[in-house]
Amino acid sequence: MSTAVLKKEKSVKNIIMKNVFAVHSTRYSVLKASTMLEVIAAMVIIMVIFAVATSMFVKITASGFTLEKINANLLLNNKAIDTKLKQDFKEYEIKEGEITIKKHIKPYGSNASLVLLHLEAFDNANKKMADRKELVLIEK
Amino acid sequence: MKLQANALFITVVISMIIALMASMLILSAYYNKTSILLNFKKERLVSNANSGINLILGDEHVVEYDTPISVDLFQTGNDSVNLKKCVWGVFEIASATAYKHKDSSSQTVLYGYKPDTILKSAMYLSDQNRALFLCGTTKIKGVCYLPEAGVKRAYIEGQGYINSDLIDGTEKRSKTVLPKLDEKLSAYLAKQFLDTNASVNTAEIPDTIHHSFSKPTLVIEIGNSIFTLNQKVLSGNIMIKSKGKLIISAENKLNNIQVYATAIVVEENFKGTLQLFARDSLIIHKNCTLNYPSALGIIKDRFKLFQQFIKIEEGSVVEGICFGFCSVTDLNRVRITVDEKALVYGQLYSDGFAEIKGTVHGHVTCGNFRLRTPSSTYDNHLLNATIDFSKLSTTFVGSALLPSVKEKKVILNLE
Repeated sequence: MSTAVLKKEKSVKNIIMKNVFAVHSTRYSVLKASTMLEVIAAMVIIMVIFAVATSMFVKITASGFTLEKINANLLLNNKAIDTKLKQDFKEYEIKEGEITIKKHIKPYGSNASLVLLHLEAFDNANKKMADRKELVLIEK
Repeated sequence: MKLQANALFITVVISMIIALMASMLILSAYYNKTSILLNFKKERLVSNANSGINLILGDEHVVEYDTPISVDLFQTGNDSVNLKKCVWGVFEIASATAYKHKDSSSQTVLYGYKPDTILKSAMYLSDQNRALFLCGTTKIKGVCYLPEAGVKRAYIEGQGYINSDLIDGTEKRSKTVLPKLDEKLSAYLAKQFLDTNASVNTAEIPDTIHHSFSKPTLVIEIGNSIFTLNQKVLSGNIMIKSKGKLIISAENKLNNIQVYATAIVVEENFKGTLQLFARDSLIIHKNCTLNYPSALGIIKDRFKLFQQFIKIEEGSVVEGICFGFCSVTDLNRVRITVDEKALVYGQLYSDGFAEIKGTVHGHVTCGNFRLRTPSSTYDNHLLNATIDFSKLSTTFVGSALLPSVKEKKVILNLE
């Protein structure tokens, strides 16, 4: 092998070694360590943020429409459709699972062919969950 | 004591990630709640609009024709609806818009009236001291209001009556005059020929128009000439008026519109749902289908030497109402002809003559059954005709123009 080729190989090796060293020197550069105080402060920040976020999330989900309320509304919709289809104008109070449904029928003004259908849904603590009013045509 | 990493830096990064995730959760919960609330609100508006429609259908006096009003449905201040009703040909339209703040929901329906006892029969033939003669394979099923002279067999055009029973149903006595049409509605229909309030001229008719019932009616005015309506798609709140002859080709797609003209010709194979009213003649050529709720009307409101008529040709089907009346004193009364193999599904009313050679599944009211053959013209004769009331749906809804009970029924949801 000629000396020129050997020289070239050596210079290439040098360049590679330089690059490797540069990379390693970045990866293993010396960082300043944190004090105990810093670690505690960091932990406190995480805890506070987590606590605030959780409380906000719980508040929003609790104050909004729960699954029970959605179910209650769906139940009232079904009862209203039933009343119209079956032309069933008897008042009742029934319990469907955890929800109590009250159906009220009132005359609408002096008109004999219209009734006011009022449906209400309550939970076990007798708290109103949903409410629906509708005018229904009586088919003769 | 020292740790082998920048704990504070890592902590801040982690806390930022947690904060980001938490805010995403909060945002999703917020949007979820908002969408549910919006859904409930929309549902309530739809329900209120529906209640508004029921109020119009149930209470005759709550809203006057063409006079919109606002009503607080349950007197709570939270359920307001705008109500409106108007006449649409022989039927009527009710419209209700429920609103709350910026949100609103509308419902528009086409409605009619349930027929009264007379129209729940197969036929009502006025008593002109002449019996009804049945020939050939004529079949009549249902209650029949007939003259005192009754119903008899006859032999004409080489055909005698072949069935054993004359009428498959109860016979009742008819009066000398026919049940009256609704005066207000018949006057309204007659007035439409005279009113000129065009919004669009003939030259400007676009190929496709869908006009909402929440807007004022789009009136297309066509002059005195013969005009062919071709390759148009028209639906909704549209009225076509012509003082000449209007030809409707089979290439049109017309849905729920009204047409008023001196003469109307519907060309072969047309299919659509529309109300046609003519002053002189209305011809439905072969194999046309006019779906329910369609209406054909001939209104004689002036003296004319010739006989005004409706002619439904072979193979055509008309579902709805066919009527003809003469609002002036004239012996030459209107005629409605149903050709062989043609079908009218619904109600047919002619204060003049009815020439039934085909089939009527429903009811026929007329002053006289006229039969014209190449050799002669016969009065009160039916040859190879079928009038069967039992084939008409029990829930069929008619028009306030014909004798009806004041019970309204929705025919179709327009919008």
